[in-house]
Amino acid sequence: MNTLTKAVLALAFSAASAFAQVAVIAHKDVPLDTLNKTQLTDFYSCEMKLWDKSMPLLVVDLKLQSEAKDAFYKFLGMTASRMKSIWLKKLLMGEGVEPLVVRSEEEMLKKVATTFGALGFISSSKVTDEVKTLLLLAPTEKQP
Amino acid sequence: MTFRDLKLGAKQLLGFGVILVLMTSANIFSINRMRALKAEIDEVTKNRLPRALAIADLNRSAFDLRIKQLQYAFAIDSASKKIQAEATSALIDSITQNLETYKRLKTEAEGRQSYSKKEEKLYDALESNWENYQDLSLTFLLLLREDQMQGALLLLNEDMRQSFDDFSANLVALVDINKKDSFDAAQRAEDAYRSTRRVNSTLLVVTILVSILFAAGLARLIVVPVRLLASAAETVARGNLTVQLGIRSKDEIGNLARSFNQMTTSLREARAGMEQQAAELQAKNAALQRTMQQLQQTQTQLVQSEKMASLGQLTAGIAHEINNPINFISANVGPLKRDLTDLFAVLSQYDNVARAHKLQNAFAEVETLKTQLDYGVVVDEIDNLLEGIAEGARRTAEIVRDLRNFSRLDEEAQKLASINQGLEATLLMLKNQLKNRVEVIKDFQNFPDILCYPGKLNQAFLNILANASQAIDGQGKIFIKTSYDGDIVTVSIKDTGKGMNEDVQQRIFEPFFTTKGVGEGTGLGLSITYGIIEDHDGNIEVYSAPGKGTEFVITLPARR
Repeated sequence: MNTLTKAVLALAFSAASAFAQVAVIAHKDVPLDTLNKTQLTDFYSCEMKLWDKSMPLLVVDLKLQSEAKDAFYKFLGMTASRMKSIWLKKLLMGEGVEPLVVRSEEEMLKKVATTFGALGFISSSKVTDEVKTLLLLAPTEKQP
Repeated sequence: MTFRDLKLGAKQLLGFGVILVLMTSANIFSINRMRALKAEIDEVTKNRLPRALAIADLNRSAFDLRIKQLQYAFAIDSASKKIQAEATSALIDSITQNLETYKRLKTEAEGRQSYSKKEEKLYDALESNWENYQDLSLTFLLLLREDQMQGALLLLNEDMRQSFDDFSANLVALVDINKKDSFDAAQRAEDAYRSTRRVNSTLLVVTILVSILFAAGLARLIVVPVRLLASAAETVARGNLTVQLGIRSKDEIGNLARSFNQMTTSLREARAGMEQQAAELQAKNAALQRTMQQLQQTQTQLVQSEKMASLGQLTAGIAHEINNPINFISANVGPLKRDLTDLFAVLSQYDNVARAHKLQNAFAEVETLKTQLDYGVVVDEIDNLLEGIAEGARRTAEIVRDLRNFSRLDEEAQKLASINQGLEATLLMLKNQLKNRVEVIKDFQNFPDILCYPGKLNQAFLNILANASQAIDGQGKIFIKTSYDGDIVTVSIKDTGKGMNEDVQQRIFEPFFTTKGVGEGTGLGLSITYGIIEDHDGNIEVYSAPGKGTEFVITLPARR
C-alpha cells in the first residue's frame, strides 16, 4: 500500500466516522437531561450507582465490536477491556452492579427504553423518542 | 582550467582537500552507522526488552489469576474470599497495567516502524482474548454471587480454561516473536557493526593509498620537471641551444620552463647572428687570403717567368753558340776521315815502293820509328778517335736541340706543340737524376698537337717529375701516361715514392711551401706548376698517401 492510497483510505474512514456519531441515551425517566464526560466516565465505571436517591443506575454495554462502541470508548479514553477490568474489580470487591450486556444496538435501544435507570449508547441515527439523549459525542478523529 | 594549470600550492591544497574529504566522509559514515547502531540498541533496551518483560509478567499474572479465581471460588469464609478477591484484583490490575505498558511500547515502536504486522495481529488477538476472559470472569463472578457454584466451576473449567489457553497461546507466540525480533535486532546491530568496520577499514586504506599516491604525484610533479630542467640546462651549458622543454603546465614550474625556452631561443638567435657574422668575416678573410695568394703567386710567377725567361734566353744563346762549333766538328769529321784514309794510302804506297826497290835499308830508320810508335795501332786508334769525335758531336747536337726545345720560355704566344714531345724533352733534362735509379715507364697515346705554351708546360712537367724523382729513395719507378678523348688531354705522372699525408697535400700548391730542408728547395715549383696549368684553363689534382706514392693528374683543354 503506498502513501497515497493510505491517505485516501484515512480520509474515507474519517468521513465514515464523521457519520458514526454516537448518542449517549438513557431511560426517559432519568433525572438528568445532559451529561459531561466526567459524569459519563463515573457512571460507566460504576463509581456512581444511582441517578439519584430513588433511581438506580444500570449500565448497558454492547457485547460485540461495533463502530458506535469503538467511538464511545474512545471518547471515554479507555478500552472496552479496561472498562471490563474495572467492572470485574468492582464486582470482586462487591462494590458494583454488573452491567447489562446486549448483542446489538437495536437491543440496546430496546433495553434502555424499557429498563428503569438504564444508560447506554447507540449511533445517533438510530435514536428514537423512546429514549432520552443525554450527550452527543463529537465525531471522533480517527486515531493515527 | 585543468589540474595541470593550477599553481603548485593549489595542487597541494586540492590534494589535501581530497584526503580531508575522504577522511571526513569516513568519519561521517562511521558516526551515522554508530547512530544507527545506537538506535538499534536503544530499541532493544528501551522497547523490545520492556515489551518482552511486560509479556512475561502478563503470562505469570494470567497464570496466577487462574489459580486465584479458583481459590476465590473455593474460599470458605468471607474473610478469605476478600483476601482472594483483593489478590485477584491486584492481578487484574497487573495484567491491565502490563497490557497498557505493552500498548504504549507498541505505539512507540509503530512510530519507528519497528513493530511487525504479525505481532500486531497477535496483540489484537491477545486483547480480544483478555476481553473475552474478562467477560467470562464477570459471568463467573455473577454465577458465584448467585451461589451457582456448579455452573461457575464449569465455566471456569470449560469456557474460561479455553479462553485462558487461547490467551496463553497468543502470549507464547508473542514471546517467541519478541525473542526472534530481539535476536534479529542484535543480529542487525552485529551486521551493522561489521559492515561499518569493513567500510571504515576500506576507507582508511583508500585514504592512506590516496595520500601516498598524492604525495608521490606531487613529488613527481615537482621532481620530474626539475630534473628535465636540470638536464636541459646541462645541455645548454654544453652549447646545444636547440633544447626546448615540453612542460606545458601553468604552474610555477611551467612558467620556469617557458622562461627557459625563451632564454634558449634568444640565445640561439643571438648565436646564429654571431655565427653568421663570423661566417661573413671568415668568407671575407678567405677572399682576402685568396687574393693575397693570387698576388703572391702572380709575383712568384712573375719572378719565376722572368728568371726562366732569362734562363731561356741564356740557354738559347748558349745553344746557338755551341751549335756553330759543333757544326764545324760534325761537318769536318767526315772529310778529316777521308783525308786521313788518303794519307794512309800514301803512306802505304811508300811502303810498297820501298819493298819493290829494296830500299828497306835506306828506310830502316822509318821502320824503326814505325815499330816504336806502334804504327798499326795508331792507324786503328785514329779510326776510333774519329768515331768518338763524331759521336760526341752528334750527342752535343742532340743536347743543344733539347736545350732549345726546353728553353722556349720566352714564347709570347701560344703555339701548336706536342705534349708527348714536351714530356720527352723534360725527361731528357732529368736524365742524369734518373739514370740507374728510377725506371721511367711511358704509356703515350698518339694525338695531335695542341695550342699551348710549350715551354711553360715543360717547366710544369719538369717540376712534377723532379719532385717525383726526389720522392723516391733508392730504386723506384715513374709511370707517365697520356691520353686524349678529343676535347681533353690528360697527363698522369705517378711515382712509387714516399707519398704525402693529407696536411701536406693541402698545402703543396702554396708558394714557398716545401718539405725539403732549408736551401734545398724554394717551395715554388708546384705553385708555378699550378699557375701554368691554370694559364691553360686546365686542372691539376693530386692523389697521395704516405708510403703509397703520389699521382698528379693534369687535364688540359685540347685547343687547336
